[in-house]
Amino acid sequence: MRNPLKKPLIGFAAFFLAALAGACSAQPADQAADETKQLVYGMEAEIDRVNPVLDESQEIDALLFRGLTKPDEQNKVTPDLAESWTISEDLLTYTFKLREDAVWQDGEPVKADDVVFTLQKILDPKTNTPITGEFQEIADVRTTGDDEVEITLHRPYPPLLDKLKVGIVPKHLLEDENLAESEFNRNPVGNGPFRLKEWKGDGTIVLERNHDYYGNKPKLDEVVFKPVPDANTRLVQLKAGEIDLASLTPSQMEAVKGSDPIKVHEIGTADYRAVMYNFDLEIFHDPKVRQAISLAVDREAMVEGILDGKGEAAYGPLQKSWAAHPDAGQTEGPDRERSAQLLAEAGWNKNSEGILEKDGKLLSFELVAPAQDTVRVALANVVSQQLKPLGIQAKPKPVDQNAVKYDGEEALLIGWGSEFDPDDHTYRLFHSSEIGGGRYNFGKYRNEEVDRLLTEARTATDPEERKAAYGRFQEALAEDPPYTFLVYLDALYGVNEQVTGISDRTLGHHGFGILWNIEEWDKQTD
Amino acid sequence: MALFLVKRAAESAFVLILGSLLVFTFIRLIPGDPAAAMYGDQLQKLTEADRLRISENLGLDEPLPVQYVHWASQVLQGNWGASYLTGEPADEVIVRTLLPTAVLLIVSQVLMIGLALLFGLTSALRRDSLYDRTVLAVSVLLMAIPPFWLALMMMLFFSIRLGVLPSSGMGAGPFSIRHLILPALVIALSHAGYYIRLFRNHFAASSSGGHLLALRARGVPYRRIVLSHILPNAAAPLIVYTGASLAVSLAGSVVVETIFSWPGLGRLALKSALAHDYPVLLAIVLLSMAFVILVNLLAGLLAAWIDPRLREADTEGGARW
Repeated sequence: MRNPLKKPLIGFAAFFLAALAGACSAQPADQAADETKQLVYGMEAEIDRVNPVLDESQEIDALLFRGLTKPDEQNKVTPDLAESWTISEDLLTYTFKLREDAVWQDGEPVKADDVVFTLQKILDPKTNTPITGEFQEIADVRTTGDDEVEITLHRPYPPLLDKLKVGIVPKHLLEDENLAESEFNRNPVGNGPFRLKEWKGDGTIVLERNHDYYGNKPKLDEVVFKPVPDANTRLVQLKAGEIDLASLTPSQMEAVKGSDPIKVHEIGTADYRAVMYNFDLEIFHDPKVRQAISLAVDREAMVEGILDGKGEAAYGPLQKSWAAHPDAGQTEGPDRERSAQLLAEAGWNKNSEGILEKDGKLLSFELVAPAQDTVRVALANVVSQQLKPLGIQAKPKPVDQNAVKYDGEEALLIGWGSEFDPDDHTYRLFHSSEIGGGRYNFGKYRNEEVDRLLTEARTATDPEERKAAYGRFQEALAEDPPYTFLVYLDALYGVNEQVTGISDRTLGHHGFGILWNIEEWDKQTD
Repeated sequence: MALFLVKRAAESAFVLILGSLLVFTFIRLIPGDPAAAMYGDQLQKLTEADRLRISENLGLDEPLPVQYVHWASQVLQGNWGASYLTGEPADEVIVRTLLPTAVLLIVSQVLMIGLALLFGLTSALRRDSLYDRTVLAVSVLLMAIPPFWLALMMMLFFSIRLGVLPSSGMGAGPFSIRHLILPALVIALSHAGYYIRLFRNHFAASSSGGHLLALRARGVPYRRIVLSHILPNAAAPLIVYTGASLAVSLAGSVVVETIFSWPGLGRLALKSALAHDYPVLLAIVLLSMAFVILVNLLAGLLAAWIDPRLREADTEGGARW
């Protein structure tokens, strides 16, 4: 049969192939000139705005906006915009002396007024920001000179210095603006090592070196934040060299081959997962029950089985540098015999169905995990399996993260951990004064000894004294555990092998803070 | 014709109002709220006091009907509200995404219709041949392949194996062909299967019949039979289907735009929904609804213009297609 459409068919195919070939052979127009040292960071989420007052720290913030302090490699506080500070004897008044050579990118000097303006905006109830809670101990902030700021607190709060790494914003550009809707947020004028070069239509943000920066000039010419929401796409682009840096998941490690031009950095974080007990439940009142659970879980198995080895067993909430005895409360792996013995001592006996029972009550509870977090759901399942032989019934229950009642579930797979001052995620979580009112002692944990030690550690001025208090706090916590600590997560970053300068400072939640020393980063050009 | 237009316009307005009411109510039923979205995976840090404070700042503490009336009256004055995420006016945020999405949709529709016409017509003309059966089998395969998988495979092949096309982003602008090819091809291919089969069946139906045999017997060239008799007869329903396909492609673009980081309306819609960015999400849904209604209206008019039978059926209150 004749085909009357042979010509159009061939024509269409030829056109299509020609277009494809033409596009493929065209020179990439969007690649930077060869000499520019450019680092491209493939971000999970598009950056919607840049304004350190309005968001839980975004990586880009610290490149554009610097604060009074910054962390060093050991996460100790070091001066940044503030060149020095003094703390009153009662630990309630902090006086900061600002450096005089810092300027905004429009040429105006950075003044004490800017610091006061920034902190007042963070504390203003009209400002929609998730970081207000971190600064709530501040009673007053005022200038005591052009370059001097005084902050007074309600109660002693050692993490304040860490928190003051929050980027300062320019008062002269923002004081008459509605902060949430200001155009500043997409045309930021900062004081940091980089400045905005271009905010592209596809959400890609290009930063270039800020020659007026007061600190060490960055070695990189440009840092590009490129949104690549899909995890698989990120890996593909890392391999193709389209991006230089991206966070990876443990399950992706198999797909990374030695021949790929990537180096994978496995970096420890302060981000732990634990089972939080709700002390409204009578079954949790006896510390022996919680000790028994803490003894029965096999943390190494969780690290291997759930995290593919990318993590660490967790025995407490504190960073190793702050625990007087790093192994306080630690055991050599699970000890189920000792665990069973503790449960028997506490008066729990297995009933006919193999579940522990005491005075007609079953040792049975729901273990809630936010359904969107697959790691937490997996941990809940493993905890449940590991406790089953002992006769403890932990019923894993994934719940939509928006429906989780943090202070109302029977037991919860929770995640906390701060890479900064040890007070940060301890006092607010375990002190009995932090119960109720939406504060973070969700489980209503009460222990007088723990209260006393946390207060002592918070108010002591001598670092050795603080450290000793935290050591005893950890022992008290092991005796009467508020949580059963499970694992610390490691952060995984795939980095172009030509990039140097990445440090392995312990990172925060979700591996946050990888760019903390971006000035030191460099890229070899071939 | 005028009656036809008035009827359609009244229907459209009613659908828009009903739709906005439904959407306004339903997006509040998605678990979570803007305050929760602001905290992201640090949700546990959100205290009840903060939640109330932020809701109040955003005007979300009022009863829902009050909020709806307020929103609708603002929209009628052309004020779509400010995005919770970027602080910009919602319509500005959306307008930014229109050109990339329009370019992507038009290119993928042209590709898709081209493929469907080509393979639909050629296989209809050789019904039950090996070629026909191959085309049908491949089109079933295309229907069955999930677009996200197709996208990743194309990315692996063209960006990694061959290294000839960028795997995501838009480059200098929406007309960067290199960035456009993969997403457009994925949308086209993932919908082409259905349309190849549809077109083939329509062509097959209109290419059988005594009148065609009579034409051939009279010695009319085959090419002319195809172009002046078979194609026009199948055209009206195909135009209507193509109009409807735009809505499907618009929906499909959410996945494809997200995977390829194409900064269009689909990706914005997903982002706004996840972040509970109500002003932007509402504006997107309403505008897409208006767009789909308009396209279907135009397709209907076009079909009615081509095929008088449809016009009569409609104005007489008869059955519609």
